Amino acid sequence: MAELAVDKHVKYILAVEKNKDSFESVVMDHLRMNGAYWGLTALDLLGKLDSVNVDEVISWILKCQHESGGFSGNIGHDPHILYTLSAVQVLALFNKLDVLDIDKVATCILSCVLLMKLFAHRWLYESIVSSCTSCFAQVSKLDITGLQNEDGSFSGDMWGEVDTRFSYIAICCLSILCCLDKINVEKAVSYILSCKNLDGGFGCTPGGESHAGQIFCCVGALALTGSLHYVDKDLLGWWLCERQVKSGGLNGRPEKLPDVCYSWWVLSSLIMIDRVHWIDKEKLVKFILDCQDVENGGISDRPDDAVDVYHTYFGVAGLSLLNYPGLKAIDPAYALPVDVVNRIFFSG
Amino acid sequence: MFYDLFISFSSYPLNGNFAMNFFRHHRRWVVERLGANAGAKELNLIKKILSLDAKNYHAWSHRQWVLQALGGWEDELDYCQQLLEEDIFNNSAWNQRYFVVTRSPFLGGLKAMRASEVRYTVEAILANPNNECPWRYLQGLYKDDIKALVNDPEISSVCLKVINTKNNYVFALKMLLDLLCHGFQPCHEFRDSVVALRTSDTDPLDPDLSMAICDILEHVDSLRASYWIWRKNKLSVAAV
Repeated sequence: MAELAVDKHVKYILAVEKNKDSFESVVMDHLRMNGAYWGLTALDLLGKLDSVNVDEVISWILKCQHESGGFSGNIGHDPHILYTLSAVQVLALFNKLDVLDIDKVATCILSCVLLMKLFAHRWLYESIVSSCTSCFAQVSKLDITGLQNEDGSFSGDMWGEVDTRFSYIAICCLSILCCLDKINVEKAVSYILSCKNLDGGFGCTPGGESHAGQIFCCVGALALTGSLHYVDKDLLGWWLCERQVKSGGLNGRPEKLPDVCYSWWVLSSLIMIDRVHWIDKEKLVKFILDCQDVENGGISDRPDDAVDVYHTYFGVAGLSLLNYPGLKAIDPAYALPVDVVNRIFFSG
Repeated sequence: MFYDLFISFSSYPLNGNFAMNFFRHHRRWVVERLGANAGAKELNLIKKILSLDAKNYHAWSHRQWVLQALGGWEDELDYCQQLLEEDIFNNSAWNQRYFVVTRSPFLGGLKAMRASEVRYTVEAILANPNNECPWRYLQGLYKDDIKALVNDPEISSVCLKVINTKNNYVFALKMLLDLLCHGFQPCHEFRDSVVALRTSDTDPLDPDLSMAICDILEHVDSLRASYWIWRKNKLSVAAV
């Protein structure tokens, strides 16, 4: 079996970060904050977070913070909750949450109008188009509304679209900032449960197709609010372990192709419901390792495809969940290294 | 006219793989205000996107919103039918079919539709017994009515038919196992067909049919061996 080419991946991630003119960087310009989260968390899991200049990163992050308290995807862009979560996560990595005015950030999450983007999933990653983002945000800012709706759901924007992904983003971010009490948790949980399907999975809204990415968001949100007892773990565990295909990789929905990113979405969900032993871990490790570019570094969605920092992160994170030697442990609900989460909650 | 202008302005990024969230959300606000006629045009536009990417999650999510906000249910079951004829493995289309059957104001609800949907699904299963989608759909048709699932001869019969082909029988075995766990009383034919699946192993099959099925599945669906072992252990506990 191939081994994890740690040094190559570190070099790849650092190169992506530095090369602002590459196609990948240009395409990701407006979601650089997400890219920072993927790249830096992967570096931390690989034990190489000290390869970056902390002050440079923090200084850039703070330049992305706006009056409202929210963070944008890059300097000169408008703030959105998606990037706010990534910014908070990156600050947590560096133990720099103290640079934040927490009330301001929390209020922004609760009251800022969002452009709906799922952080870190391919099917939205592909769909993000930079040119309209700031245009929309300009229009959106005119109508500030509270995020949480009457039924407990969360809206992504002023147009009112609701999606359980927003529930996760809001809950995860507020949880890291230790102010989860600012939302109605019971109603938030109740809404998430209304999106549970007969197969035990979760969709984006009631009736929405069960999808591993949505399942991660829902199970994660339920985990962070102490509500996992509402999940039918046997039923969902079966649906999740059925994602493993012959190659050992995991898909996100029935009859779709495997993709390394599901090594995170499916795996973290299985771990949170204590059913990860239902998949063949060895075969999954082999699949992820086969997705590496061992010459140039980086990990792709499936073997022999082009690499990107998004799949590099999820591949490494998936290996960490599988206890691959030499990697730091990652928390399946917060998607941050366990020592970072412990530091947030246990060191005052 | 406003709708047409708006659509031409905002449609471009919706082509191909780019389900642009900005336009989709802004669209919802506009479309809602334009009313049912815009709804029909919107459903058409989503059809175009799905013709390029039939499993696009955003497009399906948007389609469900349009149906619930503005109607247009009348042709939706036919549309699902068409997509499934193009690709019987399209889980999104199966999910949408369930959405329509359970929520359309024109079809009478799940119970009213159950018999015809079971027939449709059984046909799909027999054509491709390794297709995960129709097996899950079948269970969905008996939501909150396990007794009816157990007692419907069509369900146990399709399991038997697939097992008898000795090919792609994992889902059929699993369904049979679930039926047995819910009290299904099999005739000898079922045991005979399961016994016939054994290779030349010298170990005799477990006398309990459910246990025997778990043993076979542990072997032939080895990726999920731990799951089948857990199912078997659960049977032992239940038997005590």
